[in-house]
Amino acid sequence: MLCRFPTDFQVFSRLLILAVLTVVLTGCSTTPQTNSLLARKDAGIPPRIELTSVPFHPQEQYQCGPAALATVLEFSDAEATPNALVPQVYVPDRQGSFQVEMLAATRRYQRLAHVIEPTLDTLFASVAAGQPVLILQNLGLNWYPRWHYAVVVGYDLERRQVLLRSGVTKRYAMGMKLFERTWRRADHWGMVVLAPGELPVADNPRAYFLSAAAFETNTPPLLADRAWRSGLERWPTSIELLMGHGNFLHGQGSFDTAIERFLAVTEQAPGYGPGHNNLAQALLSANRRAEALASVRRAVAIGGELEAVYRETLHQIESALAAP
Amino acid sequence: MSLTALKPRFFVSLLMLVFSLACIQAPVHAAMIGTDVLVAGTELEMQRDALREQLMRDDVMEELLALGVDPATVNERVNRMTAAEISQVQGQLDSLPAGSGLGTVALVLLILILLEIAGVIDIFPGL
Repeated sequence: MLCRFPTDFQVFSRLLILAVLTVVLTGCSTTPQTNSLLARKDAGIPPRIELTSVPFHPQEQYQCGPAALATVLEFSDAEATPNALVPQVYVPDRQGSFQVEMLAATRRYQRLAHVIEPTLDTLFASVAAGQPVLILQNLGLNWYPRWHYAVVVGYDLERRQVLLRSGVTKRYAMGMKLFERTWRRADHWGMVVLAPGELPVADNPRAYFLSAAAFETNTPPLLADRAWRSGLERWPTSIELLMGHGNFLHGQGSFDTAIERFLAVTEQAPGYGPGHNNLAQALLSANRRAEALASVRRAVAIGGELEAVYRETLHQIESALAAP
Repeated sequence: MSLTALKPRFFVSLLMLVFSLACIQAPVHAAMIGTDVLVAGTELEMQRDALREQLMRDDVMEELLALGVDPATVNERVNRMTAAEISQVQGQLDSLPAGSGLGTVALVLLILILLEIAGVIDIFPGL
């Protein structure tokens, strides 16, 4: 058929496709976070924020990963360029970048890569605290994904906009609901780049512990120490941060300070075996064998899935005590 | 069979193996509950098995090489990932999101489909 005119069937099929698409697009696209945020009288964050000093690197073909990462690293005073980041995060055959490599490359520039809580509240609070957030979006659909990295540099609750450095657009004002849909299709993934000593906004010591632990390896000890200490200043009773810093100090040979940290753990959580075990190890390293023996006996008495490790410590201490 | 007869791919694998074996470190204090163990939570056995972690690292390296990553940088890229990160992505790289932005072709196709549905154009017969 050379010339085609709309037949009843064609009109019908168009309407059908439109209806199906509407269902596909809206049925799974509610925006609970935006609704909840806008419904609250006091959201606890400024109504409008824009970090205008965040630099902009327009993305080259498919390379939004390097461009977005360079943007946040540069804002954090790290010397990074999109070109330098391409061989670190770009994967040619996928024409894109994996989240895990975005995190790993951040640490190479001596910055903590911190994955934020998957909420609009934390996202906006981070930006309001001067921390632009690198986010992953699925601009397509679940069954036709178009993955994209962009940097959130601001928002406007009144205009219901999220402000982004995105692709080749320096200031992209995206509707808040559309943003939430595209962000949700990427599991609300976002990361901030923190200089050692800088902290994320959310009150989540466990999340910070994970970022600091990942940062610690392949980092100059001074910077790793700063990251642990700043975490402990904010969350002085966090078992994980105390353990992490204690382990770090012990590895550095600072046994006395390590002992302080592990002691704090055993005070906070007397029933936590690893605290007693590591305290025993640190005491042994500091040649305080009798105290080490008392500590490890507490760990063995607590037992649990790590009991074999505690018994190994006990064995080490007993051997040390038996030696002249 | 002389060495020169071997395929470059094999050389790369061999090099990676040598490098990765060199990276295995014995823990200084075997009976210290390390931070990596705390990170892993209950997956203690997995974390304590340094050799298994190394095998996973090699897997991820192979996967990245297969996706076209430069052999000169792949070693560094993989070694920068933590044990937890490695175990998250091992065997998954094919299905994990890789942020790339909208390609021109996809964008054009999307616009055409929308125009088609809106009744502006008619380049897909039968729609």
